[in-house]
Amino acid sequence: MTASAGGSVWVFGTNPLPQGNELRLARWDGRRWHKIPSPEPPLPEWEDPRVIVTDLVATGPSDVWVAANIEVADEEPGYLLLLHWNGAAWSWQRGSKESGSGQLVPDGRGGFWLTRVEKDDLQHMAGRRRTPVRLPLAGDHGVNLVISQVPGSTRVWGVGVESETEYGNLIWSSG
Amino acid sequence: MPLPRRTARDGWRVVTALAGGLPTDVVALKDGTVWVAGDHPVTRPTTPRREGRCVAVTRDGSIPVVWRKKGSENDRHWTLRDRDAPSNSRK
Repeated sequence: MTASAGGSVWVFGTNPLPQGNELRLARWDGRRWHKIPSPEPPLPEWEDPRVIVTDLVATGPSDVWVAANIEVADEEPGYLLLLHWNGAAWSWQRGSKESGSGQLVPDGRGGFWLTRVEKDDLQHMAGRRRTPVRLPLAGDHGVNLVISQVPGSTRVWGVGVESETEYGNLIWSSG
Repeated sequence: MPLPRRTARDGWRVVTALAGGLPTDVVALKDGTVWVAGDHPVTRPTTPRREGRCVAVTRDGSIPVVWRKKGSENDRHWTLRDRDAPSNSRK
């Protein structure tokens, strides 16, 4: 669940059906719910995938991003599926094998941060471009990171388990 | 161990390290307060250079532990709130 400017609240979920995963987004405008057409991204159907939504974020009054993990054949962590609703239509990006999916957190500038994706410490999304972020003093294989934005600001805090370096578990900040 | 003070090109920097314990979650509030939860009884922030005073506390048996960082630039220290403290319900 996420909120956007203008007072809307967005919820997203999946309903695993025998004939495939049904993906649903709905918007609450303060008075009633609006059902958004379901996206139909290409999924590896031959591998009986499960789509697990990990987070969503609103970057504008009608811009919503949804991160999901496509789990296939018990492989961890699965594929990243990043869906975008622009108020009129869906688009999507699919990550590579074992790209995984974590949090989506606003950056306060219209973009957002992604955690636990593609073995990067962090990724930053601005427009439609994802950029890997390397955190200071982190090891070489990505940090198991959780982050939180100071509401209404560009400041973000992160804490992570870092077992590869001599510094142990760290707290980071940005903005 | 003093932490090297480094800032990445995109602005991320290390604030402090946790001596023991595994951080499991963080919540930042609008007033500048940051809550950090860990699942180990000796989780505590160490004192990095130029980041002000940190309070080191050890505790056994009570999980999760929650560290609270006050938001003011002039009051940047960490205090421990255990799960039984009433203030923990703010998280």
